[in-house]
Amino acid sequence: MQPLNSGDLIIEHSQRGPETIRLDWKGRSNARRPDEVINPFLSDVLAQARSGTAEIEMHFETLEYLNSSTVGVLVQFLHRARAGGVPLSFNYSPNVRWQKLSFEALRVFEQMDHRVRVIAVTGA
Amino acid sequence: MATATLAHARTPVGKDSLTLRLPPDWDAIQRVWDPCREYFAQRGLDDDTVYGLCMVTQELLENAVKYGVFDEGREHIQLALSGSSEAVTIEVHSPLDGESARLRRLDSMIQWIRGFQSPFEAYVGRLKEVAARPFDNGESGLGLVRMAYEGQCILDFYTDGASVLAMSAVYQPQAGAAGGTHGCA
Repeated sequence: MQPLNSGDLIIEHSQRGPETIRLDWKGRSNARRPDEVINPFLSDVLAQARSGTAEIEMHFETLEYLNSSTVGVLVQFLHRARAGGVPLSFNYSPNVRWQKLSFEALRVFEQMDHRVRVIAVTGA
Repeated sequence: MATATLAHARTPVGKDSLTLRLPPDWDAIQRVWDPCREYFAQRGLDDDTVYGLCMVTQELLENAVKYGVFDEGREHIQLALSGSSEAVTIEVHSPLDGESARLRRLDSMIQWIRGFQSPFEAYVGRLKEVAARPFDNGESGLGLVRMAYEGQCILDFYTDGASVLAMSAVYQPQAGAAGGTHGCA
């Protein structure tokens, strides 16, 4: 699967064995309509995960910025993954304050569904 | 109104202020990040706070581009940064069309945020709402509450008659993570 490369944002796709699809977010997610850019890519990833019963591991440790519209895209994707029964993790750097604030708030979804995990990657 | 370069008038109003006049263009507002970072850093704020205030500035400008009503004679957004030892203020002016629905929505959102004990609770509440419904036209409705929570800013707005909306975010170092909002139409 090709990476998403749009404006200042790159999302790299890799697979670790049949069980894990890894997405590495890099650069800045600052598009006016990130839903139009990112959703088609994430829909393909979700379909791939469902067909192979894989989990999706998203990594944001090196991401420089994401706007609030992108947060909305992530939250709605989380909702779709839950509905499809696909385990999903958000991995962030706790040493970066904005990442800590943004992703710790997403723990509310962890409490609702054990298949959702928010992981602080120390040493990132 | 796409421009290849950042077309702004950079006006140092005083030692502690910076005013930028910007076209309502998505690429142009992205390029404001660096001058804003420089300005906030010169106020003696730490890197994390500087980043948070740049994020707030970006969100305010994004809203101005999305919702401003630009026409002949009203073709720009104005960004004004000012700071003292007590507070840093980010103010964004954008043209209105006299239609009050936008102001009612803005006031309603600000009052909604105020109803929570902390900006964090408001943000989490909004995340739950966003998860449960599709957002229309790319509107997540998270921008304002994110400014209060992550940017630790107090939000406010006023109108100049029916033609200009002035939206402000105030960061008070001594207030720490208090955040919050107070609005008036």
